[in-house]
Amino acid sequence: MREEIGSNWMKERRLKGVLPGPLSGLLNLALIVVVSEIVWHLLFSPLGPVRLYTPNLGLALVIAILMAIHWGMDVYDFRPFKRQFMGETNPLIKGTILTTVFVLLGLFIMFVVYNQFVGRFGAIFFSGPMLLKSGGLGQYAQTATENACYAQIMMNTCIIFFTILWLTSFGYSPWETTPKLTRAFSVWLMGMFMAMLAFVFLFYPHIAYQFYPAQIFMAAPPWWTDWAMTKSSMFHFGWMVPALVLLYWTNKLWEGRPFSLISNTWLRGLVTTSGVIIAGILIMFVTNLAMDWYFDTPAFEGGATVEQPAWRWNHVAEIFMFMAAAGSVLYHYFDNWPTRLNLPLRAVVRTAIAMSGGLALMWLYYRLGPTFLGTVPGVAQDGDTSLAWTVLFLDLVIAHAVFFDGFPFKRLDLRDESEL
Amino acid sequence: MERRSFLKCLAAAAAAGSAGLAGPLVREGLTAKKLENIGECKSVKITCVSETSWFDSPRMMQDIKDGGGVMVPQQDIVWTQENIGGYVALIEVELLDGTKRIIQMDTGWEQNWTDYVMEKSGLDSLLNNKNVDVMVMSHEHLDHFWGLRSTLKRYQNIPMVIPNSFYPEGKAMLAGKYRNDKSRVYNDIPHTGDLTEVGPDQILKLYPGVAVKMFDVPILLRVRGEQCLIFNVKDKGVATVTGCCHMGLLTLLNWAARNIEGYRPYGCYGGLHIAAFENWDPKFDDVIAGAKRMNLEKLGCNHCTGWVWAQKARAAGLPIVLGTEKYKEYKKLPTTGPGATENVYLRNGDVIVF
Repeated sequence: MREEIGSNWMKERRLKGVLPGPLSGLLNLALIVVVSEIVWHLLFSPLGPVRLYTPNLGLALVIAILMAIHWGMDVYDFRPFKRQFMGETNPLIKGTILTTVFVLLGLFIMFVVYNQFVGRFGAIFFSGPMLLKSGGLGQYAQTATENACYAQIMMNTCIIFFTILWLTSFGYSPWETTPKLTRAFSVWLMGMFMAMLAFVFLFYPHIAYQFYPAQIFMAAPPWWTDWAMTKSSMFHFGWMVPALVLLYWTNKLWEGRPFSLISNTWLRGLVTTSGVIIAGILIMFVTNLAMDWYFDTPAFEGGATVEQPAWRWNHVAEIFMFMAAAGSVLYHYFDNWPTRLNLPLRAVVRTAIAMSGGLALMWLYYRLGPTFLGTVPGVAQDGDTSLAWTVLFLDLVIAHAVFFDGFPFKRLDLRDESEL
Repeated sequence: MERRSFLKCLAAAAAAGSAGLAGPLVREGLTAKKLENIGECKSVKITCVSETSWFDSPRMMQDIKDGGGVMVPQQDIVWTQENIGGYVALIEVELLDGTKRIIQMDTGWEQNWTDYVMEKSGLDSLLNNKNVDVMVMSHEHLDHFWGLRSTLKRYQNIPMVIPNSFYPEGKAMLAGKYRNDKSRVYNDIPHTGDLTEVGPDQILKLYPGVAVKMFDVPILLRVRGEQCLIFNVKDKGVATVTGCCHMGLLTLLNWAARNIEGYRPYGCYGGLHIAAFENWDPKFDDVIAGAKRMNLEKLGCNHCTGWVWAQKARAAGLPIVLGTEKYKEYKKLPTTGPGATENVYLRNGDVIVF
């Protein structure tokens, strides 16, 4: 019956600590850090048994899982799972089932949809096995897999971004009056449609020029080179990820503001879309300037390591994913503290916490990574990226807080009708 | 670039707003730097003893993939022994007073191949007669370092210069106490000569006009730090010799331009680590575009540069120095570049003079 009340499971539920003050949050945070270390070591670490951090294979997988989680959580509102299952099942059982479902979905997307379907019958560059099978110069075991995973990473990032953008900008418009499954399916399709369009213009030229010789009849030359100082499409990844983080923060830390102040749906959609994209681009350039300053050298066309523009743009994304992870911890484990100030002020405080927490997390990552994650000391190794760890951490925090209801230090508390 | 400047101005306001936060980030770089005078030498002759670290790129990539990818430590991968060779360069420097210095860069990988190329190039007798003045280890990568035994069995106390970022396994190799049956590497001959470790904040001046510069960069297969040789050749300019150039050719030249007194671009030799396995990426086009602005006069490349990059760079007008047919006299040939109209690599046995 609760399905009739709220529009979204995430709004219908909240978590309450089983211990006083921030203790529950702190213990849950400690728990998830330990879990992430175990998962990383077992599945991702270059020193572990499975070694998914090749690096792109592991990164593509955690992003595919994140995309599946967003679909299930934000678009489909956990259908086909019933509210009774969501509200009354033991959190350990529910968490295990949901986590398994979304991990399997992520694996299915990557290894069946991309590798065996899209790559086999359509766009081969999405599939490592098909590139390898095609042969040709440079299409060798390691590079074919890495290149295909790169294409998947960019496509899935587009899908996540445009899906969340649509939900934040337009909600379920123009399908809000249709049955819930219909409107969810419509938003799901719209997110993918927009992502495909974006991919064609922003990433496809990179893919065509990723082969030798360049596939000049398949795509225009990368048109952004003058702005980006590189032909790499990392340039677009560099603004899209911060823009996505702004969307996360709009929905969580800023409680929908400032865009929710616009009551007209289409105007709100237009302002939100243009606002976050422009903000993402500005963030990217300003962060690059900060890096010029920090590294004491500007990036330039053809430069390497910290002077490589493609690495710089990717590093912007890395920095903002650290901040997204910190913001997610604040939201899920510390009940979006502070909650008693007026909205603009608490939004500012939360943002400051997310940004400073993200920088602290980044410092810890580079400081402790060689010991705990098996990474090489230093930054700017070509191909190496902290995104695999941050996205994995984000996946785990969401799984723990949402699927497992923050077990064992938090418990589920459903809002009553008057609170919705 | 102009558009970028415009964006810089646009962003300046936001940057100014965060100046308080950024204060601690201010480095000494904002103050004027003192340029290094490394002196001048007369000429530099480089012989490619071996640039063939692996003979077949697909096999090399398969080994890496089977081991778990490029982030896995090199000691933790099973390498196909029939596919491996090694990188060694022999450098003869003539100083302004006419004296000559012999520098060996790197020491190969597979023992039989390394011994073979040393004998074929004459480096073998130079080592036996202790005529090599110093060996500069570019970095700790297997194909540059794991053939250490071939050098030490000929000249155990050879003066050596290494980056100060070697891992314990590398140090154990130097001490003659390392054996790894998985990756098939061992050395039981301890190095007994002078060992100089170079850090990223220093420039080691070996001889007038000859310096070693180390870059503290993280490198694939869990290696850290690479150093290169920088020569200031009288009336010509600055030339670099690299092992793999993981610091990036243009980053290296940019550093030299910012730090070497009287810098004038001239040439380079060695692996440039661009399309190392004949794979391509749009970033590699950036290196061609950027290199054109560096105004080099001689670009001698091989090893991990990537044949396809060298080919494309030459087509774009970069001064790629062509190799000879000498490499065909060697007992084993790489699979790279067959059927190409030009030999864009300085291959085994080739010589370049700066």
